[in-house]
Amino acid sequence: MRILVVTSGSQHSEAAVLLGAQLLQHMQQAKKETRLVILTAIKRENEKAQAEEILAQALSFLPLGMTGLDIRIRIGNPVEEIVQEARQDKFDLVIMGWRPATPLLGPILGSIPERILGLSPCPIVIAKGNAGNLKCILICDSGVPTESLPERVLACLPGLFTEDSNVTILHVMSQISAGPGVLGWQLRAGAEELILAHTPEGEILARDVKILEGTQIHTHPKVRHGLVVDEILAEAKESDYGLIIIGAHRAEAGGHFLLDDLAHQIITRSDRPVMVVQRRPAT
Amino acid sequence: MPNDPPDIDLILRDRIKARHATFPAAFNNALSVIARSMQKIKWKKVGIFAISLFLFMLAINLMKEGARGLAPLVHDFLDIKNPTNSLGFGWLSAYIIMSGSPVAATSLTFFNSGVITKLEAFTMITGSRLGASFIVLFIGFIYVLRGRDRATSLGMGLLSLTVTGTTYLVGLCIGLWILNNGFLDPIQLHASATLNSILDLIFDPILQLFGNFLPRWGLFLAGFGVILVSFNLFDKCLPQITIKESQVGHMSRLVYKPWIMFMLGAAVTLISMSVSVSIGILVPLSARGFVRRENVIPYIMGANITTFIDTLFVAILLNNPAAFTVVLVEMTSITIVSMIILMTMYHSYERSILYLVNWIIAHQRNLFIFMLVILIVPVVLMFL
Repeated sequence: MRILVVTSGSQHSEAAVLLGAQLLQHMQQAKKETRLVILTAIKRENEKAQAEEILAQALSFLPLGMTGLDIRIRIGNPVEEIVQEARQDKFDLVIMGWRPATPLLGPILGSIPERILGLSPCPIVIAKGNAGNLKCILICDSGVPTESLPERVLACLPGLFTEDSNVTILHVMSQISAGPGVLGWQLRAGAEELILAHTPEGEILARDVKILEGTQIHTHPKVRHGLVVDEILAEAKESDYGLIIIGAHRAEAGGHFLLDDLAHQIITRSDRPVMVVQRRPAT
Repeated sequence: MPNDPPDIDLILRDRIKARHATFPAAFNNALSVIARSMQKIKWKKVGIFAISLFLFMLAINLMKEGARGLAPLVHDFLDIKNPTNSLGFGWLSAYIIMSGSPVAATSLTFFNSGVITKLEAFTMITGSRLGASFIVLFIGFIYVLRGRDRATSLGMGLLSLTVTGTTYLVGLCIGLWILNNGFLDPIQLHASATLNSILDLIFDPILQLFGNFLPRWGLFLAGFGVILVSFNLFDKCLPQITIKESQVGHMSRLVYKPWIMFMLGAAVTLISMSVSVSIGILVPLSARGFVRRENVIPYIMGANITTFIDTLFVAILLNNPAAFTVVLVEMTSITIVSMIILMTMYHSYERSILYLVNWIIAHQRNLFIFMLVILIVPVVLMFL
């Protein structure tokens, strides 16, 4: 697996470097061949000394004697250079920090991480908070019938899950009845009841569990009821997951991703790393 | 070698010839599109719509003529003498007839005849919408009495009522301020003089006929009955708007954006003129009679603005500029409140409303307290 860690020397980038190192160790312990590249992008040639300082500082956060490490500097527009690097060297994963967009133009232009998220050819992990136990993973499948999120993760990052990974597939039912005449037992049911009754949510959970258990990964389906963002964040905190995985949709026009309201809220409000896996465009 | 200069005449002749050749084809295509569209029109529904529109206009004319006859009832018997009383009156009246629009129309005809003041008309319309949003809750309550689950039966009714209540009560204060300062008075929309004379030509003989054997207050009651029939007929001719399965995929991404749902709620209610009908249209988004918590609140907010469109039409039919201003202020104030919520505090508002709804549903006692409050408040307001 090839991992690209992006740093700008800021406090947000520190979390990305630490998470990258932890992921590298996690993969090496599972005897999976992994390479980690720490990249910084500068706008002009004369900023090279500053870039070298940023990389030296990043390396100082890492444990001594780490193998499989590399550093790189790119010159130009940061967003374009990072995306280009990820594309050219066929990285499987990009890790970066999260700096919220400025209140004035942010909603229109988006922050640098948001723009990279929109153009990246591979999944991105937004490093936030302290990196926890990476064996404990929460996958939030919104229930797109045509594409399973775990399947997409396996396709993009076959090396992410190890034999001792503990994965929870979470589906949040935020629905309420539209009118008084509706029979609403499903609005209170748990994962097992929904799977047994073959409801649409149950079918999605059963499909996801089958996909992951087919690769010997211990998987646990779960359903929560309430507002999607609140429930995902509550679940992540209660069971102390090391990584939250969510899907994002690719916009049909323009060829880049639109971070929808929910994904944006999850990233902004989460206190732990969030991986965003871009979904295939709708056909 | 230089090229020969182009023959302009030849080029022009060719172009004219080409246009003549393509014109009949384009015309035929347009005709066939129109013919196909005409085949899709359900003429029975068009007929019902025409009848409901006629009855609506007749009702407004009858109520307009008869409203003055009810002045003693409103002033002496019901004791409506200030905006608070009229707020309670509008609210209670909507409970009784289980609809808001006829009460809103009544308030404008009362205002037009001088039975109530501008401010009283404004608060009575607000009351009518508050009362109307109780209807979904009332139907849900009947389901609960029949043994159905509380949360499923009452969720939507409570959500609709609490969103309407919170936005309208704040909107009431903003609206009274706008009305008192006359900010929107210059904006007017009138029926043309020709249209008015045509309407008079049609309705005057009918009014005379009714007037021959009914007292003045009887004209109002007849008009009120006719308006109820016209709204019922209008419901019957609404097109069945459903979102096709293939469109749901694209929509599902948009429905989490509050602004999109706000505009969708406003647009759908503009066509259907009924908040409950427009909420029903949301159902296909998640199928099985469910809607998402995240998208329904801004949708109700949008619907609560354009639901006044029929009242605006009443104001135009009455040809009363001040009545038009009252309705316009109502729509503007609700729009202002909704926009402030959406722009500044939507997520905390959403969570507070859902928390309140969950609290009410959680225990029979809480539900009883809530029902008691919403029944007593309008009665108290009416006699303050």
